[in-house]
Amino acid sequence: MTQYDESPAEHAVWVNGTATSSGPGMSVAELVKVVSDRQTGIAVAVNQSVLTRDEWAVTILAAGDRVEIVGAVQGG
Amino acid sequence: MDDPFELGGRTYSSRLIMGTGGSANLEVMEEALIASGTQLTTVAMRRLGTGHEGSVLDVLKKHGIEILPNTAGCHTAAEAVLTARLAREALGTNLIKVEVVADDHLLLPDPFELLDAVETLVADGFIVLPYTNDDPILARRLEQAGCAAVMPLAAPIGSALGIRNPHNIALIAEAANVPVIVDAGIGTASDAALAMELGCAAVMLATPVTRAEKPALMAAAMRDAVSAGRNARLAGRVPRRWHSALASSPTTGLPTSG
Repeated sequence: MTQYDESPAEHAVWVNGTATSSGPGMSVAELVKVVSDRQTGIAVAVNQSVLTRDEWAVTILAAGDRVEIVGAVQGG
Repeated sequence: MDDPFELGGRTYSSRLIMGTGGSANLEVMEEALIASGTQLTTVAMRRLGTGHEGSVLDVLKKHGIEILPNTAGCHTAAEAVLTARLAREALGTNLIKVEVVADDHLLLPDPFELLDAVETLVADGFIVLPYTNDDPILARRLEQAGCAAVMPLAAPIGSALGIRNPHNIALIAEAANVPVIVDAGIGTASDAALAMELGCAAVMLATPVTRAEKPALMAAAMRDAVSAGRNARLAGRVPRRWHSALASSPTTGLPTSG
């Protein structure tokens, strides 16, 4: 589950629509570990661009970034 | 009977594509999927942390059912393209069922946004299966855009109203050079059989099974209906006779009385 601090600050990274002050400086790989225990079957987009798994560790988040972390759910 | 269903370079023996939405719990969903005999089943993509993610994939993997991600909930081409790309990365498949709905009331496809999304995704290497209106011209445009199938609705999603315009479905199936898969609006087994009798290659459904009183029993009924409808189509039905009967017993050799 989501554990990051909610913050309205302009210095925030937006993670799944919620501002978090702990985001700037983190890698995407680190952020994914905070957001979910699950590491497979999920994907990440930063500012509308989908990352490959290899890019998670080397993509460092900055203030203002908008991150979407998604997985499969029942549907359709 | 050897009658494989070919879709996007893959081959399936089952012609019933299932959805996973609406099940009371995972156990009920799993029983229904097994009973349906499906080999291809949809999932949706949602933000993590909402408490829904994960375990549906474990069930599909356990039974060797291929994943068909969808873009349910998207209202624009841009949203659908992003969702498709996220699904490809998350699930490792090029298959995508493209849904772009115009509003949340009727959930009917927005044909302009749909075609826009389809063109982008085909160019991006996806095997594109579009959820579309039962419009023969739009179906043709989607095929021309490079879709691997077209998926016209029988009726609005979740409505269980059955095939509202069988003539349009037949026209689409007759004209298409790609598989036509009726998607959405199926209510009961006879609807699924009719779709196949009209010439469709497969049927996709979720609600009539997952929200049935006995989901696994309805799933088995749908499996049998799709199979029966397919066989009836291949068998070649007799023509309808509106103005006269045709005796099925010999008309000569009758014993006479008196």
